[in-house]
Amino acid sequence: MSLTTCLMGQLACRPEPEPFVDRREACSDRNPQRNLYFGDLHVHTAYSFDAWINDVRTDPAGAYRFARGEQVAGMKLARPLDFAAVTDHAEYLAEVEGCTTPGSAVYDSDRCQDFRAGTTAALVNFGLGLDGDDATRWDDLCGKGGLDCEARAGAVWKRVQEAAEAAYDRSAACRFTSFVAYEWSGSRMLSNLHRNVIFRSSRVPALPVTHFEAPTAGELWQRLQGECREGREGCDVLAIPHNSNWSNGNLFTPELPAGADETELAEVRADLEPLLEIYQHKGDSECSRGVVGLGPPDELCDFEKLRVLPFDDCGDGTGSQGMVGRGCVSRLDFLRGILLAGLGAEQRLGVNPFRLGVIASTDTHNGTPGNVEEATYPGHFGARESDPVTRLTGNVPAGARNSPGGLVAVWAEENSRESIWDALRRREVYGTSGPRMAVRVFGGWGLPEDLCGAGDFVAAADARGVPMGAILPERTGTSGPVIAVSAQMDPGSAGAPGSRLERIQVIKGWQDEDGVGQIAVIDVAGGPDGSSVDEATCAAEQRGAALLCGVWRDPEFDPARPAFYYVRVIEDPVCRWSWRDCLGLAEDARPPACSDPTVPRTIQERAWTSPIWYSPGA
Amino acid sequence: MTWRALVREPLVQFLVAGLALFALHAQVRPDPDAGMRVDRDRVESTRAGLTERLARAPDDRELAAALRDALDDERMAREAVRLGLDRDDPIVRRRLIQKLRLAHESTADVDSFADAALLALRDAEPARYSAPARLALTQVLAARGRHPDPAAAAGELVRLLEAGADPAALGDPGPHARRFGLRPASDYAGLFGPEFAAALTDMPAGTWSIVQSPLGAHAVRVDARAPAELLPLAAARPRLAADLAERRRAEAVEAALAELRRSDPADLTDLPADLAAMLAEHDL
Repeated sequence: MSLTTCLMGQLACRPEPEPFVDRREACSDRNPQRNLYFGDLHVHTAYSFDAWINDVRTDPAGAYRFARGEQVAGMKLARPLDFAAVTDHAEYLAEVEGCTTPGSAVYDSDRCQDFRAGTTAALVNFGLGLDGDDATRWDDLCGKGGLDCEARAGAVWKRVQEAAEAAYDRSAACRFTSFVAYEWSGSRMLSNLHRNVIFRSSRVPALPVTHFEAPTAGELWQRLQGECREGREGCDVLAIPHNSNWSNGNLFTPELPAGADETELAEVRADLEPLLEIYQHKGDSECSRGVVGLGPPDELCDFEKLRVLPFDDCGDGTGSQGMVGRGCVSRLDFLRGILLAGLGAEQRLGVNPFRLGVIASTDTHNGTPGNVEEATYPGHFGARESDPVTRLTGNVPAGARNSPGGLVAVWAEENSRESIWDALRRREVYGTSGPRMAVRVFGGWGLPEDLCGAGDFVAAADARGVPMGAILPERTGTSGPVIAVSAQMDPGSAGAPGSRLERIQVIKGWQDEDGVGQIAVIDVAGGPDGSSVDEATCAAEQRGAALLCGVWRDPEFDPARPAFYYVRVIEDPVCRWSWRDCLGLAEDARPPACSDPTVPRTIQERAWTSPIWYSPGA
Repeated sequence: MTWRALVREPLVQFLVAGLALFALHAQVRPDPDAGMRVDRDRVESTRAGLTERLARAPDDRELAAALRDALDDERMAREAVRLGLDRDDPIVRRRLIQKLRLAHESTADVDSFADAALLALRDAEPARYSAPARLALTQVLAARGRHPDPAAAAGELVRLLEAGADPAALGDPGPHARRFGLRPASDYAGLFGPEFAAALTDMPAGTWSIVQSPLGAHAVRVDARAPAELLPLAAARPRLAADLAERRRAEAVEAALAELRRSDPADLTDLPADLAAMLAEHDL
């Protein structure tokens, strides 16, 4: 670790984690040039209150079996995942168990009866119980005469760990990696602040730190620091915020408790939260055409939006009630705005709290990680959305605007917990809206301009550049940095071919001389290709490429200003799940969503990579 | 008689099973009078609920109305069941089936397993508890769209590679490394498509071959193979224990269903005798 990094703050000086803390056989797939693995790091099962209440009964063990390719609850992945994390809401682990176990001290309580009745009122009641900094466990369930909620939660948490252990392949074949994980589910005034907490190994705290014990993100970080990193040998952890599109700007507006040091908090945040989940069941958080400050008009931002215009722009403020589709929408709800804010903070504080890599996942509440195919989307809430009409008319949260969710792609040396977690930590990862396209990005000052000619792209670029997620090394020469991208189409599975690639784009963000954030979107390979979809049949005529490669040198580079470069890879269009559902219904039986012009009939699936940053003086 | 011998006795097993079913029955069968009984606890519980909801204590009329609403719900539910309205409701059916299934699953003993039981499961399904066969390979791609004839381009790649050319100097600039370590064929299906993986099955090691995929045509050389290996108990234990628990739960449900099939047989009287006999033979 460099002295410079160390001087940035005490937390950055912690020793690097041991390369291995769990006993396992060495992986036979180890590859110093990195392998590509696909997974899902946001998965709910029957242990989550909002899954159980919607009739989902698949438990964490079942979810891992599904991820490994087995049939569960009548569904099966065409392609198993390489890794997954079950991230049940840590709040209510005890309460759900108590309310659903006949004979428990609270089984016959009114609240538990409402819960088992599965009414929307009960869902709202449990959901509202998590809102605000004063949220506490309910006395009628966890108070005198009720459950010993700490002990119950501990027992359920133990089962979560056992399920992860049973699914983890510790043999040399390294076929599947599971992570012990959970979701911290705090919100304020119904603005979403949720994070998934992913542990590096089987060494985890005795209990998850929930919103009840740690009402704010700052307290969550402090407790994770104390109870994992400092409190348990071999324990390491990161937290991944998601659904900034539901947060009215609150998820990425730094909170500064009285007396807190802003720089220190920024360091802690940068250290514990290196990633953003940009896409999942509840839509996309990359960019929006309805908010000022996210760059020039970009029609490709109109992608899987949970909310459509009209809505208010929060401007420099924040709003409330995003989780029920209300309140203003902020530029800090979207990756571009967050990354730009990070550059601003870096200029002001000397540390960038939002140096965020990018992942996507499903947020499935069916216990079905990786179930992302548009053509076979079964709905989000088990049997409750098991037919087209209920899927298209639902309101949790947005019916036809919901998405099947996406995947996280990781470039790691091998399929083991430590290797994949370390790749997440260094941000050598990207998210997709579901497809398994392979995308590799390198940045550097002296990358050869002919990288996209013949020969081994990876070996040549790796030797002279840094991968996605990294910070460019000290500048050499007088030109701007070079960004090199190679993207291969998803090859598909038996009977379900993948889609071709339309184009690769580099999205650059920087601060101008006035300190105002700017965005540029540049096509660096491919482009609109005339592909089309027959909306009467969903047959697609795709004219894109199997392999795209682009090398781009920034022509307007200002070495005095920080900048970031991330990549977006766009597929040719296919039918969206909602239109497939509509086509399956008689015309007079189609709900309004089928004729709503704001619900797209086609989708251009995509990948978003972690950025590469330029930091003056790095 | 040792305790091990004791637990193998059929009479003991019968008694244990009987006790478990009795406990299950007591657990899932609600007290038929409880829904209409109004005792002091119920009054106070209702009062507490209203106090929380209204943010003040309810008056007598509000308290009585809340109790009456709950009793009316119970009256309606009872009457609906009496009229058989629950029978044609798929949601009610699903919830009842689900509850009974979970109740039977909860009678299964899944707390700990002897090594012998785990080994028996492993040996009954060796493929599931083995490290799969794996192969290491080198591949160089001639991508569709970058060559007029990808197969011909791959043929030229093979010619150069057989003549000793460095794989790193040839082919199209894909995102993957050229060399892969020992991985199962299913991994290669994920990277390059099912056709690619299928072609690896009989590919001899050490020589270059041409393989087609949705991406184009690849020059491929298998560098090494590793056979499937049965996992030792220590490595497979967590998964075996989870699978055995799942199996025991399924067996508990199946045993209950077998009993139900005996006590509640299908009515086949309207079927032709041969069809009825055939179905009956299959444990309908």
